[in-house]
Amino acid sequence: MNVVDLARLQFAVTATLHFLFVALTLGLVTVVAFLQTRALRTKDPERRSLRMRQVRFWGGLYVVNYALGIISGLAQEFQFGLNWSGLSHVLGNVVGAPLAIETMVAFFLEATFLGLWAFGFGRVPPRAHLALIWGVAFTAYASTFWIMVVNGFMQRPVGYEMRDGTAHVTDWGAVVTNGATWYAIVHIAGAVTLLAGLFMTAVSAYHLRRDRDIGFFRPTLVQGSLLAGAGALVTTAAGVVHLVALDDYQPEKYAVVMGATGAELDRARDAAAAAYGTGDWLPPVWVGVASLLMLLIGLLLVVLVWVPATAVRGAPPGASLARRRFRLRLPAVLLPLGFVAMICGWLSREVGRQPWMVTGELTVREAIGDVSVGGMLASFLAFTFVLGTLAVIDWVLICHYARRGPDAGLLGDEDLFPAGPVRALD
Amino acid sequence: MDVFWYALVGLLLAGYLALESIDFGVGMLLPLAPSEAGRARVRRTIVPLFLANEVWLVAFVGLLFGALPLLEGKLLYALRLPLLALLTAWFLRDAALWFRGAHPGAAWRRTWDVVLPVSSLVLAAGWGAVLAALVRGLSTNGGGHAVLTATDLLHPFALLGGCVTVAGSLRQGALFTGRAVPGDSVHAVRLGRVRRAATPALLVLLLLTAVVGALTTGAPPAVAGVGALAAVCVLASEASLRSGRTFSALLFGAVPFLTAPLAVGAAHGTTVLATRSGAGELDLPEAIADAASLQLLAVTVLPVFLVVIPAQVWIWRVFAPTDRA
Ligand code: HDD
Ligand code: HEM
Ligand code: HEM
Repeated sequence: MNVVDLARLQFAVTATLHFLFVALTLGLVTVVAFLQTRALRTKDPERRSLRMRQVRFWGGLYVVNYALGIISGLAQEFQFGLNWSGLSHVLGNVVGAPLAIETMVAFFLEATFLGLWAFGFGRVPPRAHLALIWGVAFTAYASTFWIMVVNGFMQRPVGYEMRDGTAHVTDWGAVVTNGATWYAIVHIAGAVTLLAGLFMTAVSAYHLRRDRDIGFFRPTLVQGSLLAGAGALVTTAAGVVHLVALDDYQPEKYAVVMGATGAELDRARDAAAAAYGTGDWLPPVWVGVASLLMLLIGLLLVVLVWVPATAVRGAPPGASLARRRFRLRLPAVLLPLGFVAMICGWLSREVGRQPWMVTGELTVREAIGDVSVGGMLASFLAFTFVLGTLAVIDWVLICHYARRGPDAGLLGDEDLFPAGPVRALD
Repeated sequence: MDVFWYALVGLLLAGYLALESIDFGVGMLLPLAPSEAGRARVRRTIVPLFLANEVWLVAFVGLLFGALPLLEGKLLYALRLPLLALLTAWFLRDAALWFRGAHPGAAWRRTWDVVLPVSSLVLAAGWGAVLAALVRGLSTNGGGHAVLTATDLLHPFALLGGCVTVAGSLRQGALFTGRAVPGDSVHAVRLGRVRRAATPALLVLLLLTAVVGALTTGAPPAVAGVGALAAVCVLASEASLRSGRTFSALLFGAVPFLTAPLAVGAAHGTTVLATRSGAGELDLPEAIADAASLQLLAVTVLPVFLVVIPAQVWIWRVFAPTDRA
């Protein structure tokens, strides 16, 4: 493997790990914010505390998931400088500001708000506490927006000019309204909603299958299922619109993603050579498989995610649902499929951009820093090993606490994981 | 205006070091707690705060990319291997803080009880050594690029820099944790001992750093001045402590960390990436982003401080242990 391959693999591994967690973070934060808003607007103290119990349960799982979103995000941020310094040399003026705004406007606030929210149950006044979770949600989406501005520019550069080998922005309006950014954002917003809904459904179904806490999990089964359904529709609609637009601004990618072969593919290759000069500017054809997989899973989900909600039909509140086995097992199959579709989506987008770092302006090869193979291998192995291990630990913890249910006391007044084990040992 | 952005970026790094010095110290001192309950309590005091502390470094790198993109590329390139070690330690430190309480197993806790102090030590020592090496000036490699080599890191000045940040962090950690444990406990006695040993050690190390710096760096007055300022503040911190004001003691104790990035600027002025040979250097006018980017940053980033600063004060008021709580 050469340096470029190693750097790409490293980015692919860390970005995939990052997004596996981030996607759930983005989806769940909205769910938790709505749950807490509803709880706070409930007058009846008993129902209110039931609803706060929901906030603590889903919020606790959200915070455990968040931990790895942050750790893997750090690896992302530093990689630009560590491995891809060509990016800052040529395009620093364009991609630097959005990334800076992302970290300053989003993370700086988000991290502070999150700490106050996660550990502030019972310590921060209820209204302020609610405002905090909305602050976290808002900044998380702000960060998504700005990172996608960068990613959109890499797919379809707009609003800039090249002077002396460096890019200068001439129109920030064009940069932030880039279609390649916005199609993706709507598609991602749908996909993360879908994932959060599937996650809620899967966890609720697990408990309902065992007749545990029916009063708590029955409503979330239905809510999750409907949320996932709505998310799936948005995802698909945005995906189709996106696909059509792709033909316009990344025709080479479009050809490969649509599985073009033979003469059709050669036409795309020739058109690219005419635009960018001699050379092969087509992305690897296997990207088509990833796209197809995403598409098939997407269509499957649109049809199936509604099914778990029907498990409650005709059953009086509090009654056992455990015998509706198929409908309660289904979400455990759909959830991993959702994650697979998401990764396939990113593979289509990012590998489909090859060999360009920034379409038409900078190739991946030119963007790489002057790093030795040994140095690149060292960072690849270190990041992959450490992040991979931590990711597994985090997933095991999420599953463990999801299975223990709302009384595990995941999110307490003063600590994460306060009620259970710590006291037990003293 | 260029200097303003450079200083703002430096301020973010200074904020990171000042705030995280406490986390590093608390992490290193975790083993001093005599019981499981004590270690759980120590972790609990710092967990709500560490995210808000470490995010200063995230902001530093982000703004560096936005305002000084060329410096970001060259600096991270130069520091590649040490940064790799620091990042790995950072991931593990965070994981230890997040995950330690998640499982009741004794082996689980013992593992994180090793990971936390070791990773905190690597972070404290590593940042000190790296900053000292930047003050002294980097080496130049065969390709004409600035790099931080192993010999740079093993130079006495860099080693002293690492020792200063470790001693300073231990002192900060002892002050901070001391506020959270009962005053007559074994734990409090041990923390007091650490602080009383760390203070003179820190003063001697600062003196040595200033002397070695005056002999081996290109800017003796800058290095000596910054060292003297740090030493005076350590003394002021001791004085505050004696009059019972532990919070101002913590504030004064943070000054040696605030001054570390200042020393880089004081030593090299507007040469934002300095090498000892002069080859591969980067000057501010060359490193700064273009006017359009800076304008966008000015309207988006500067207002954020108006929200972030109160929010960070708020988080301290809610979660920082009050005296002998
Ligand atoms: C679509 C959304 C999205 C995308 C494409 C990315 N991120 Fe991310 N990132 C988030 C959405 C997000 C988030 C949901 O906002 C996180 C998860 C946990 C958090 O704190 O924010 C986050 C965390 C996070 C952190 C930790 C911040 C902290 O300390 O609080 C960093 C440094 C990055 N990311 C950096 C990146 C970089 C350099 C990316 C470019 C590849 C990237 N992220 C892609
Ligand atoms: C039939 C349904 C779907 C269609 C038509 C579709 C279409 C697309 C298209 C055209 C892209 C852009 C590729 C590029 O810009 O190069 C994309 C990307 C992506 N897709 Fe899908 N998709 C569908 C379903 C899904 C599902 C179910 C998920 C996840 C749960 C998903 C997640 C993603 C992600 C994360 C990306 C990368 C970011 C982006 O470009 O938006 N997609 N999809
Ligand atoms: C978190 C969401 C993201 C995911 C899951 C993702 C996924 C990927 C994948 C799978 C690759 C490997 C492509 C290959 O090896 O051919 C890649 C490469 C890359 N992506 Fe992304 N990407 C994400 C967001 C971004 C964003 C927002 C940026 C830019 C700001 C970006 C910049 C890059 C770079 C620099 C590379 C390496 C060069 C290359 O191979 O094209 N990615 N990404």
